[in-house]
Amino acid sequence: MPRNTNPAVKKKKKLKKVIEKGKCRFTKARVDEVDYKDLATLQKMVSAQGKLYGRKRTGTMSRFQRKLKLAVKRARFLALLPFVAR
Amino acid sequence: MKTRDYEAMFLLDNAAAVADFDGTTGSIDQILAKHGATIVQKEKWDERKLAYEIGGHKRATYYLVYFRAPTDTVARMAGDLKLNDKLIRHLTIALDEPIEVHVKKRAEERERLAEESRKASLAAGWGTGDDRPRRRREDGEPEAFEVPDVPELNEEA
Repeated sequence: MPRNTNPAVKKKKKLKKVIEKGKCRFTKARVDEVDYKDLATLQKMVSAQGKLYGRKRTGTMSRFQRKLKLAVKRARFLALLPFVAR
Repeated sequence: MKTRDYEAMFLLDNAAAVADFDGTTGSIDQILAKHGATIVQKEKWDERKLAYEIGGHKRATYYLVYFRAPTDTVARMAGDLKLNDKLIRHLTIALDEPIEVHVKKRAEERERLAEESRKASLAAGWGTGDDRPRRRREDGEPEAFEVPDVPELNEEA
């Protein structure tokens, strides 16, 4: 079968690849819980201001976004993350 | 009464924790034991700068405890913990998974961190990349690197 050279189809394939790449990091890591002590992960999920990024930006699954929200709030309470960054 | 597994993080006053870590944590352990908690594992999690100032404290020692206790313990011990002036803040979480799972995870995590920091310090050539004060040199111990002799610029003028 000849390879499909239609640019629209190619673009679609590329887009699919990008979406797959941006899948939920917690699903990929096969974790059950999001730990408030795991600052390396939490810091990637908040902006420079300290606000939690939305699911659309990070590709997080809804189940993990809710757990992430709780983890960030716990980390903020323990002064591991700022409520508002200076 | 039904017992549950808990994880608690305590923020200790840094001055007290650095001077007498066992004494400071001992007072916390006593309060836990008084209200019927059985401590499974306790450890110093970290000593770090706070993301924001809490009651004049800029740094704190984080003390992590895993314990098993009757379900009314957490509410009862909160009053006693409030009276402890070495304690800045604390957070207790009821665990869904058995405590052993968490203790094992924590041990693996510690191993991974130790390995990472070892690799990072090797890659950088010195230090561990944190901002904690360095160990004071022993008497007669040489400098980590030679300080080159820089001639004074003003001498010729």
